[in-house]
Amino acid sequence: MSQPVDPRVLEPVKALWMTGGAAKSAAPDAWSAQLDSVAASEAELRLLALVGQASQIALVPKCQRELTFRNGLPKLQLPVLEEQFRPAFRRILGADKKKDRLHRLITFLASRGWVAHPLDWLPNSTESGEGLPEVYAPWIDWVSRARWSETDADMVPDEENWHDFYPAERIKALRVLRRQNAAEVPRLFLAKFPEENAEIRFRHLPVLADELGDHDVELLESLGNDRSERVRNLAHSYLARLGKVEADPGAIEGLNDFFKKVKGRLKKTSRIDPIPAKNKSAWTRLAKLCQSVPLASLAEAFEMTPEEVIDGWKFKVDDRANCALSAMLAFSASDSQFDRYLTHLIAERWFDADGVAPLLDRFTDDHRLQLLEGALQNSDLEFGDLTSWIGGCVGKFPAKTIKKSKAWKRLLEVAGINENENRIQTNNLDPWLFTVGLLVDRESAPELIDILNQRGIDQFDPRLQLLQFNASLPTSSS
Amino acid sequence: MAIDLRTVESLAPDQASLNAATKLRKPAKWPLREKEAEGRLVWGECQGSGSNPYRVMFDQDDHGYKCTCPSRKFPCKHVLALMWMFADAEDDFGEGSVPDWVTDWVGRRRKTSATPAKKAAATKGESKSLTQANVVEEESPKPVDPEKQKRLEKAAATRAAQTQQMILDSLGEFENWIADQLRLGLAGFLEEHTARCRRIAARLVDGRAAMLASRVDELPSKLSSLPREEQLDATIQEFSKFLVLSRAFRANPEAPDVRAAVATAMKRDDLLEHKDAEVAEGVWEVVAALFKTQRDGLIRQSTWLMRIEPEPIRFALLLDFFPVGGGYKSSAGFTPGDQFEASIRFHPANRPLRAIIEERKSTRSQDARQGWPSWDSEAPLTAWMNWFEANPWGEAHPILLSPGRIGRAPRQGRFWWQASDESAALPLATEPHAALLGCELPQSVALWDGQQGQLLAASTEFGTCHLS
Repeated sequence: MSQPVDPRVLEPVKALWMTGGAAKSAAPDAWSAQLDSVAASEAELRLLALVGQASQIALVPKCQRELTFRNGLPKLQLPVLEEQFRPAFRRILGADKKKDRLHRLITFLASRGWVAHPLDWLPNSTESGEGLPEVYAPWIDWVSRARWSETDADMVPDEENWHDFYPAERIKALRVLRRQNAAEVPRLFLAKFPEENAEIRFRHLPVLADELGDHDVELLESLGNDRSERVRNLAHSYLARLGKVEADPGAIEGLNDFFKKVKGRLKKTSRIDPIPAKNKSAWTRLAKLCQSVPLASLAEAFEMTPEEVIDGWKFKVDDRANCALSAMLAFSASDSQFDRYLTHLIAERWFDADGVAPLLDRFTDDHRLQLLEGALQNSDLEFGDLTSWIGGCVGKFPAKTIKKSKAWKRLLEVAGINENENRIQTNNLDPWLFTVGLLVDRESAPELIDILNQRGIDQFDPRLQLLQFNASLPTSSS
Repeated sequence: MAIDLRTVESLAPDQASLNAATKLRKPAKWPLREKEAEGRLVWGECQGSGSNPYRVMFDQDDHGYKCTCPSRKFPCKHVLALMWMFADAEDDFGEGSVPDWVTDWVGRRRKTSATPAKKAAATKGESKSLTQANVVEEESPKPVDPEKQKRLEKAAATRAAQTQQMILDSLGEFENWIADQLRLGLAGFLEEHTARCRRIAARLVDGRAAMLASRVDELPSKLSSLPREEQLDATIQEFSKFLVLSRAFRANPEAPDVRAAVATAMKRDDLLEHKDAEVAEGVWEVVAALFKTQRDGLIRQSTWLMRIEPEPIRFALLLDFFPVGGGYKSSAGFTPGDQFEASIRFHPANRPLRAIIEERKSTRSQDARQGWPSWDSEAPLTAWMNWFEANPWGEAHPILLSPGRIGRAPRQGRFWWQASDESAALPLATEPHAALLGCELPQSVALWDGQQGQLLAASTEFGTCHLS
């Protein structure tokens, strides 16, 4: 190897070249033999070669500032997707990058006990975690922060360590605390919410939805003056569920335009029937009323109990009234009342995409399962209408249930259409097949794939990718 | 509809394509020929004149096809050859699981009904015939007129000498240009490097120094990727490489490595017969497949191979160029992480790096993948320095990194790899994938170009990650 040259002796040479001109006079003495014996122009070129080559060999990179390091990406509680399944996962991921579709794919993966390989997918820095399985909380926090301090997996949030957590991890830990000591959570929120911004307050508040009770009232009433409308509305909704909200008398009076009490055949029973709204402004008024008057107030106005109102409701009279009632129940029904309403809705076979929408945020996976089962068996809804109902309820349905549905029959009709002749209809196939891929269980997925192949959807058609992935992906043993 | 010889004939655009295809109907040219078990897809890899094989595939049902070669004929000779071989002897094709690159192609071709591929319109007055193509292949070479042969050889020698002189003249002009940059001041060069490099690169192209021209044309982009305070040093280093290369060419224009760096590399067939070309056997892993669109309108495909068995570890570079807009897709190359047994033949050089695959023996399936061997944690740039001493105009060489992790220089914002024992640190050209930040990296492979590194692959707690 060449004799090393102290890089500092080359600085004068470089400085001269930077400004322009001959640098031979500044060259190290060790090189004079190679430079003095030739013409000036040649000497400059030789000097260039020597300086360049010496720099390559002699200079060792050195960072002038101390480097900062992050903690490594935290390990999640589920194993990373095995290598053999990653190409298929990446293909599905790459096909459509819309956020809700991506979240559903990630949820599907988690349902089988896997998390995405971080080189294939990491949450982005704006991700709040809504719609993503809780298992990703550590990554959500890691990506969104420049520094990340370790929190013990078993650490319990309290006033002292509140800021040692980043939001997604804290929410996850608070849910655990809520189940162990429900009253401690609102107490913590009372102490720490004043230090947090509206986004954080809003993200934390849903922790109260589980075990909602009188221990939450003080906090919820204090949030009635919160600067954020979203926070105020959610707090109001929780108070309504606890029966702590009294409706405006004028609003209650207004309900008489839209609801009437009817005596049942058996004199002892009564029910509330809708009075169909006659025009658009009436519908708007009805919708607004039902978003502000709690179910308890409606029931009281007609001298009934909330349970009687729910049990007596006839879904087949007026869809708009159904939607309005759903909105009322979504914000103000207690958990047991909500369950009762859902059971009644399913028994009455009222599966309306618009009507169910306000209820979605309160659905547990059990609710979703019941609703989807009911809809597949008894409704005209297409698969596209069901997608938002799925949530964590993935891979639960055998092919038998799916094949019996009108949605499946409709899908097969469209699958038989020549794409070149009717692109508008066949464009539906992609989201429908994605939904079927989410719904069907692993054992049944091959059967559906076969049917679709016979219907003319090629086995390599990208629209079948999620179904095929479903069929091939085992549940992890972890 | 199964493929038969008549179909091949009717699909061919012209007789010349069939003639070319017949020359490819040699199993030795096809390291891979497979078909879907009880399915309709057939695929293969054909070793053409490039370093990377061409990937060829067709659908028996509707005769749709695809080849990754840059030919503008459809179907190309590779597709015709594969179909022809399949029609002749389907049993010679092994059954395999459909590779990702075939799945991707079929997925993009989504159809709900099979529409047969269009038969090529016959050129007026021309008939196409497999028989005629066979005759062309089988015909013995016509006896050569010795006088004519002498004249042809003399003409070739004259052309070669003229080309050589053109190159030497353009190198002389180029050296003068470098001297001018020094005389006028490199500060001015750094302000106008794009325009100045463009002009001199065009002169080098005119002077038949195409490879050197391409490097000069890419210099501005390389400089712009560096922090401002490092651009002067980088300019001096790159100019010195160009100068040393120019002098090496003057001293020995026939040296294959020098000629390849200035003008053109040896053709594949010549390399296969070159007595000084080194051959290395072993199990090779594709550590990276890099694609760069150059200013000269070509896509540069650099596939980096690392021999993981037997030791010692060594590297090979498969280098190909394709025109932009030729429909070339990066998915056509090897997939990083692929492993296969092969004989790799290197272009002659001191410490050779550029190579071709002479023979590919087998591909390792996912289940049979081998881990990386361990390596000593010597100073990371030792390998680079040793190689650079033997190739003083060299562009970049892979280096093996010992346990380390990636950190960030505050305020500067640049990322560095640092050894776990803090004995070495190397600046990185680009921000690595977020998943690697802070991660312990027991082993990594990076490409070092004299100023900064590019991480190609790393072993992590998530497995071996290939980053290209």
